[in-house]
Amino acid sequence: MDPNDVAATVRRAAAGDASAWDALVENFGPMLWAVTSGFRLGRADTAEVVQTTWLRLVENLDRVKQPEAVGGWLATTARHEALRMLRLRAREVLTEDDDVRSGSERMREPEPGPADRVVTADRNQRLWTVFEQLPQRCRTLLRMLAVEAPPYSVVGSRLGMPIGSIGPTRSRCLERLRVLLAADGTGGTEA
Amino acid sequence: MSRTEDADDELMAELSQVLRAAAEMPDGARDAARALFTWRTVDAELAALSYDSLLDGAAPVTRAGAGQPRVLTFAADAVTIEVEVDENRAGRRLVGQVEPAGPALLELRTTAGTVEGRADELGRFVLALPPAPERISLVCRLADGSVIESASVVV
Repeated sequence: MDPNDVAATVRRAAAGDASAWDALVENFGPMLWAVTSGFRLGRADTAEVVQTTWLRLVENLDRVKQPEAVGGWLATTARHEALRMLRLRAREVLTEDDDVRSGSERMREPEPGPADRVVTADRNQRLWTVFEQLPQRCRTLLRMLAVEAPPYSVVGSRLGMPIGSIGPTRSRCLERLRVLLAADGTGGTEA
Repeated sequence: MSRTEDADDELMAELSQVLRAAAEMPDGARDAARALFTWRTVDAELAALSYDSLLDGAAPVTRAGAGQPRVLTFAADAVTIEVEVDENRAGRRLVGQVEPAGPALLELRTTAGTVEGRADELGRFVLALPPAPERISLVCRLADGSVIESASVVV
């Protein structure tokens, strides 16, 4: 979806069009899941945070100030909600400790701190956003290499590319990604 | 291996992590998000979550902080609802105050169902919470007939 489509879709959803809402879920769902996964909350809490984030959008559909930037709004909201979940869980653990007063209960695996998780989630979002701006051909190739990583012979036959051009195309696509990442350094994701 | 190839592999590894995470989105999460649209309320005014003591300050929760009750504020145009999560061995309760002070009918919506209650002349109310944190929302019917619904939050 390009920004104009996104804005129009948000407005249609705000006007009560359920198919527009489905389109938003389809378009931004995977990004939201990837960003939230960066917080390493576990599957159940990740699902809870993602669901809360969508709920915030339902609650605020007609209040989103820049509907074309709703992707950034969702990612920012997810970070906020993930932090809330982290603190809620930390609080439960502390309260339980106070109740049982058992030393062994406190011996836990070292976990990444909230700041590290925010950095990972931020990076995930930026990477996703710029990846979406790559030409279709680059996205198809990189997605195949990144997710399934089949042998080049399989990639070549699926995409109709000579095997010898896969490596150089991968490099060129990654270079474009790098340039987009550098240009995106403003952090302007607030909606 | 050249420096460019190293950098390519590094970026590829990061990309792979993001795209795989996205691909792991369960179908259930998509269905649940779609289903939320029917939750849209058009007849009630939304009271947004304007304050949550859990997110107050940059410092992570400390042992001392864990003893403090969690406080949340929901704000609509003309009404605010402030609640405190009161936890003890007997159970968990939501102790709240509607401002401006006045009587109101309250509904606490949980996954298991609805808990009803009322605010007294001073706007004070107490509602029983489910034993473990879960997503809740509050519906508040004021004496003048207006209906305020709070944002949902895991409490």
